[in-house]
Amino acid sequence: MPLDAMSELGDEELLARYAAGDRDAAHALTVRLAPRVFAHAARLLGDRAEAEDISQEVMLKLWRIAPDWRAGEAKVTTWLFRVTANLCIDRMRRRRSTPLDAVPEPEDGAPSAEARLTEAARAEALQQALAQLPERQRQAVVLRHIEGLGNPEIARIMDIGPRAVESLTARGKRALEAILSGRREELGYVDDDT
Amino acid sequence: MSTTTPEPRRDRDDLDDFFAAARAAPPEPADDLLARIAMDAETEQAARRRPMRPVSRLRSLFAGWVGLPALRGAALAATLVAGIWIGAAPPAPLSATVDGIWSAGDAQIAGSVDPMTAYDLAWMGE
Repeated sequence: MPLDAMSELGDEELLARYAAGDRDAAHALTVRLAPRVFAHAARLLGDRAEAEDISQEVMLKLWRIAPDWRAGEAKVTTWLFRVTANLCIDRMRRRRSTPLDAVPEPEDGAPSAEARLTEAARAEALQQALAQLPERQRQAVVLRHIEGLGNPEIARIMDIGPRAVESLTARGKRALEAILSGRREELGYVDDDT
Repeated sequence: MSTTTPEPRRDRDDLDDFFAAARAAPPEPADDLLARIAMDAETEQAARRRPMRPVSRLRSLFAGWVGLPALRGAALAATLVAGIWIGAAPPAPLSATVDGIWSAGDAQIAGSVDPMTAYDLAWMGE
């Protein structure tokens, strides 16, 4: 089956095809899922090199579990976010501190150069602020507000109840507000407000 | 007439801007990482294919018990005992053949055996 047609298949169907020996399914899953795993790891760790290691390890676990995947029990992405977070938390506990590389340039085309720089600066500031949060708060905030997942799915990923997710995200956001409030001017908010 | 001053933006709104900025510029994986991941996928597929080669029913049955050293030893012993038993007390269909071997003259046996082995020939060549 051509790769274009693969893009219409769900993650579980692709995983089943991969387990049956379909090489195109392996490529489709890599292109679809590896960037999400990498981005999540990079946001939790703030370190590209470590995020690359984690991404490769997580995807290797996916390839190995594919033949035993029980369809319908959990979304593939839920499993991936969970494994990624667990490995990242292990890393964070014995980590060396290396800053995230420069935030990639946004795609050309939309806002002005100045606006793009402001947006990139805000993304970088957020990343630095996230790094100051406790691990679980960081994980919950990233999953809720950047990955855009709902609380029930986050609860499954973090193996906690939905109320605990709400509590973690609320505390995380309050902490972020406090950290970022001191950087409003340099991030363009004075110009916006006056 | 009072002039309205723009209300300062609240931090919560600011945070939404930060989250939007982060979503707009996700950390992108390098191409060589994707290549390594795809290679891992193929390696795992190939590793799973290898033991899936078709094996004959007889071979798989045989493979099942020759893998056990104790059974292998027992089979060898049983073969040895059966050989001795057939030589000492051959069953009727084999008795004529066994008698023929035992009653053959030395010359006849010597004529059917080549005393020169490959090992001997190798030494002679030096």
